[in-house]
Amino acid sequence: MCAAEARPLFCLEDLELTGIPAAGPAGVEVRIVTGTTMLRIMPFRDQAAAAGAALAPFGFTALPAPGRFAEARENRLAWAAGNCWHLISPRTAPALEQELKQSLAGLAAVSSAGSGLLRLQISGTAACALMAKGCVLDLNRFAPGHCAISLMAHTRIQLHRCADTEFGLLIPASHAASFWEWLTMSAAEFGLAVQTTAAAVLEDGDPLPAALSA
Amino acid sequence: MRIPCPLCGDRPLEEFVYRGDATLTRPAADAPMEAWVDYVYLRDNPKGPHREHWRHAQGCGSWLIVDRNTVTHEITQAIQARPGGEVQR
Amino acid sequence: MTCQTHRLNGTGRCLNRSKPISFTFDGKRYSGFEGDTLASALLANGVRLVARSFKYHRPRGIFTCDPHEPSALVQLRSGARQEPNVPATMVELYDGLEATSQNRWPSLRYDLLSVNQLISPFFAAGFYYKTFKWPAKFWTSLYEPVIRRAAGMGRLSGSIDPDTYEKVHHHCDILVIGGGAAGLSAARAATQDGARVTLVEERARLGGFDSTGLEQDIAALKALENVRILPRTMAFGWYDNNTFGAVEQVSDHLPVPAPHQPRQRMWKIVAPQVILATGAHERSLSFGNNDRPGVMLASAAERYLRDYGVRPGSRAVIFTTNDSTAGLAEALRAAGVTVAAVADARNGDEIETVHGRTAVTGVTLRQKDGSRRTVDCDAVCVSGGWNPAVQLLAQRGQKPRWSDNLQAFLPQEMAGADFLFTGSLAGLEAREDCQTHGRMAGEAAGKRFAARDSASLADYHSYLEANEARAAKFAYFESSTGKSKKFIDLQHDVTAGDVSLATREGYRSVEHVKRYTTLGMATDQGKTSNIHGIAAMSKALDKPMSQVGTTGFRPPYRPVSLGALAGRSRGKHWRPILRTPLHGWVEDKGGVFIESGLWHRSQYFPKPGETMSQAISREVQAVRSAVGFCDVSTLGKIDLQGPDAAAFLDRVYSNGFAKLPVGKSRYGLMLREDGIVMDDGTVSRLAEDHYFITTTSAESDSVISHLEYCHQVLWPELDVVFADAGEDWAGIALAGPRARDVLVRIAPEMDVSNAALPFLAAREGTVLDGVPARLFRVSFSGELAFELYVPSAYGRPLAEALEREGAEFGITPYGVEALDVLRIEKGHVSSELNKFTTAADLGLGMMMSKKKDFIGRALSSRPGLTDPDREVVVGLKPLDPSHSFRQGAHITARGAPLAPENDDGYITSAAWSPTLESHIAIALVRRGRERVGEVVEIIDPLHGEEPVPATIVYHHFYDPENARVRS
Repeated sequence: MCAAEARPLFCLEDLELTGIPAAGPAGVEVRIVTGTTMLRIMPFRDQAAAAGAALAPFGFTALPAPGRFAEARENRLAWAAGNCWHLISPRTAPALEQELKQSLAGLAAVSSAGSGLLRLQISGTAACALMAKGCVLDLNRFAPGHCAISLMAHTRIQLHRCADTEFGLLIPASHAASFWEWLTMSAAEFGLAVQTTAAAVLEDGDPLPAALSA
Repeated sequence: MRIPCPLCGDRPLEEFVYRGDATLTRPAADAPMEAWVDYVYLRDNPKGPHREHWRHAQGCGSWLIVDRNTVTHEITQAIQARPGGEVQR
Repeated sequence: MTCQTHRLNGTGRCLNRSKPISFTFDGKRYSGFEGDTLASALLANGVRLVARSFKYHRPRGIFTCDPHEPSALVQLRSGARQEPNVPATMVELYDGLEATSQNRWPSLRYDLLSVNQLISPFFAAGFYYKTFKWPAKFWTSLYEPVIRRAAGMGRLSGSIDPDTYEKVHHHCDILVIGGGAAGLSAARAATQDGARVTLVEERARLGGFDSTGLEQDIAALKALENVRILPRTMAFGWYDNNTFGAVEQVSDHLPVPAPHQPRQRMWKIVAPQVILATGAHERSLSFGNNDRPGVMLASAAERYLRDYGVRPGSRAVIFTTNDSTAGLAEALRAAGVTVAAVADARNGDEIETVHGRTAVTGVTLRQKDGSRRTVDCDAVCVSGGWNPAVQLLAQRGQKPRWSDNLQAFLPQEMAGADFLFTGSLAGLEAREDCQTHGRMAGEAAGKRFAARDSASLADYHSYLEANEARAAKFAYFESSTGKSKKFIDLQHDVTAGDVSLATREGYRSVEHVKRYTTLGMATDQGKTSNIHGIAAMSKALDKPMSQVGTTGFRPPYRPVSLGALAGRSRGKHWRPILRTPLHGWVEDKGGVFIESGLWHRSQYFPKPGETMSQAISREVQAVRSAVGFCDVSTLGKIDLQGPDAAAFLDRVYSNGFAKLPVGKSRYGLMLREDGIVMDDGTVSRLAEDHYFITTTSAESDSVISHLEYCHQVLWPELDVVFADAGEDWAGIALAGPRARDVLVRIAPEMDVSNAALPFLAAREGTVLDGVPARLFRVSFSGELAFELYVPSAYGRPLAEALEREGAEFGITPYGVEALDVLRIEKGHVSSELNKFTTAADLGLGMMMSKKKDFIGRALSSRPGLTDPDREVVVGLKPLDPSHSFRQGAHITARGAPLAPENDDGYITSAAWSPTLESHIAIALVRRGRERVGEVVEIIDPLHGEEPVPATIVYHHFYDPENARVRS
């Protein structure tokens, strides 16, 4: 038996991923990011500080406060729910998961979340205008380095403010097709460009803003 | 209506799920049947201040204790229900 | 094309005379200019009669220049974009615009239904309540259809609206509602401390009643970076915690929206502070035939002259109670209109009645000394003073306060005030006053933004107090004599007589009179009429205005289209569609989908030429005789970890988990605290402090919420964490006597022999050469079966591998229909968990642990839940195997009369069993277990079916010894 190939875009199967042309440059660019490993970190009782400290091998010294994410090397560490953080990395899943489990043994539960989330990066001059159509947050007060879990287009998503005009979205796979259709309808008036990139390429791209370094 | 989630900040009603009176205490295992009936079924219906449980279901998932005026919908306080929950903002 | 007989040369601030526009009204072609409204263009063309009234079909014209126009409602556009009940005053003219009049037959001028006015005594207040009382069945079959046809409004197209609507969320620090002189000043002042200010204005242009001289202010405001101006945006609702709803008419002023442009956009605005500058509505006066086309508000006449270069007629009479009409006579004369008379109520003069039918031809004036004279005219300009637009405040539950000095209901301060109000809403009149006070309000809001409690409101208050103290408005609402109808609600045809009749019949509350007479219940929501109803009640009841009070107001301020409220959530997007990781594969296999909650699940996989029931039977038989597989990814999945995980599970499940060994699965039953079953599923222990839980698809969210409640609220001391892992894993059930043969090939790295992987074993391992997997030997079908979980991205590869590797064993994909038939044959409960049943009802009483406390234990023992008379789960087999049952059919003892007390239960699941070659059912039957062997009758009167005799049997139809699952 030969090894099975994962289908990273299974949740968008049979959808048009081509974008919508505009008169000028597209106001909204969506990058569909594949190849990301996402691991859940849920500290046990009274162990949040110790768990944060144990993340040194991954470049972090503490778990970010609620509503914040931090970046170090190629990794991102983001608050993801009441007592849950996500380690987001371009590295491959099984090895990273084993390493993290070892670092956090007895301090936090670790589980893999990557396969169930679609990761999008939304940017462009109209990115904020598009986001406002679905996102209930005050985007002016949602600064780079902030993250949120919130309702958007019927869906509970995780939202990272990466830069003034760039947002990272993590969307539950089961909702992804519906969300995608909402996204393309809502972005149509601005023009929409779509590309698919592997996480490794993305993370090696732009230099990290100093404010986000852990 | 908007609820100030202690972890997420001000969020609109549609992100929350209501449960009810937050002042009830689950009876001890050997409590008489009357205590259980009170706990499960009997509720006041106050006009004015009310302490109640809400869950930020479409956000951080926290169960909250919310002090809400049932007439004006003014919310004077919202805290995490879990005492000393690991994370505080 | 007719010429614009009433258009003036030169004037018309809003017009672009270089852009003529052609439009039609009732099929006739007219011309206007860019900048016109439909109302101004019709008036310019000398069109007077534009509508028929709601009840009496009286001829009506254009009464206002405002959004709350009560009379001139038209139907706009045609085809699927046809839109009824649009105020002509709010329609911005575009080339090719089509408008038609409503509520007339056969034509506007010769409306046969106007005979209604001849029998108007029958249509007085409370007419429907008094007349159509009996016989009751006539209401729906006769009265209502006839009334609906005669009374009414425009018509919907009946087609799907081809345009799109959307929502947008907006946050600002200070929201200013209203872009008149006061709102402009307030917005500008509010920005001074850096606040983000948003100004909404329902009209296309800023400047309010008269924008003359405000051009620079408007330009300066637009230039500010921290100001967002939303024209054509109507704030329709003010909700709790300063959340506002507003509708932007994005492309209503265009023939069709541009590509990808929505027709309207609903704004959900959140603003910690709001400044209301909603202005005031001019009011009319009650006098005979005050609804004739040609009677118009004085301010409307002034604005048509100034803004649109349109004169309302050639000979005008002015009827007023106040100074706001001071400049009107001069403006009319300057436009070449003869002012035939000015009746000033303050001098004791009044209009008694208006002459003419489809247009004003003259008026009878009654002078102070009682003498009367008739004056020929074709226009009547009327002003009864001004009503501050308090509707949004009233939505917050505020009761406006009556001011005798201002003769108006004014907004009040509220405790914990989170709003300011200014301009004519606050009773101010002069533009300078509005600007000065608007600035005070804006500055105060700006300072409060910068530092809460820093702003003094002393000047803001004293300015309004001084204004009110100075005012001495004349109290006058209704002419004292005359027999003709005096309308107070033009849109609902309510007269002063109707209100006095209601009070004679005993109605005392303004809210009751409103509902009895329908006063103020039309689409203008009483903006032009309420005050006169209150005045009429005040007179009839001899009570001061302040004691009569106003009615409440609810959102919306003006009608809002349902499309705007729905936004993108229409058609298939009215709710999200949830897809499993196997969705694309099912599609490619030609599988049929069924909606199950929000999920689209595979229902069955028909082969060419197969019916649905043939396909289901084939799938069932494949599982029973060979092997099948089914997508079970919709099951809820929870990853539970922590030192107290076992203790936690013991408290939330009715059965025990502390002793579950590592590597084993167990069926778990979860109760609600009231003793009713909440959910069931499997719990598998992967490691000492690590469990994997499945829940039913339907309850996955509520179980998570319940467990979070137990953890965060009830037992925070337990050290346990759990994650909703529902999205992480694709799940496939592999079932049938050849299941192991297939599994061996899929998971060569794992030992799946019966000895190594016995019934209820749970393992982590890899499948498909390295894909991490969780494997549980559990069975819902009653066959040798496994549940396989792989990361969602491997769901489809796993399905494809199963199909490939299982081909030689006859593997068959099956859908939820076959899944259901299999479990009914096996007697597993599913739809029996219907929020009414206990564990004992379901035949699961042995799962109620006696050794521990758990959620639902205490109340399970209450008498109502332990009554031996309760309905319990049993099976049913028809005497004739070909007799089918329906879910929901009821059960009675044989020969018992059809009566509620003989209802012995109902069918919860029914299916054709290809295995037993009979229809079978699971039912909840009173004392069912004692009645096994009894022949009962299945009745289904709702479907008009004959009773079916059936035998009560144990519900484990198939393999009751459980031999096959262990094979």
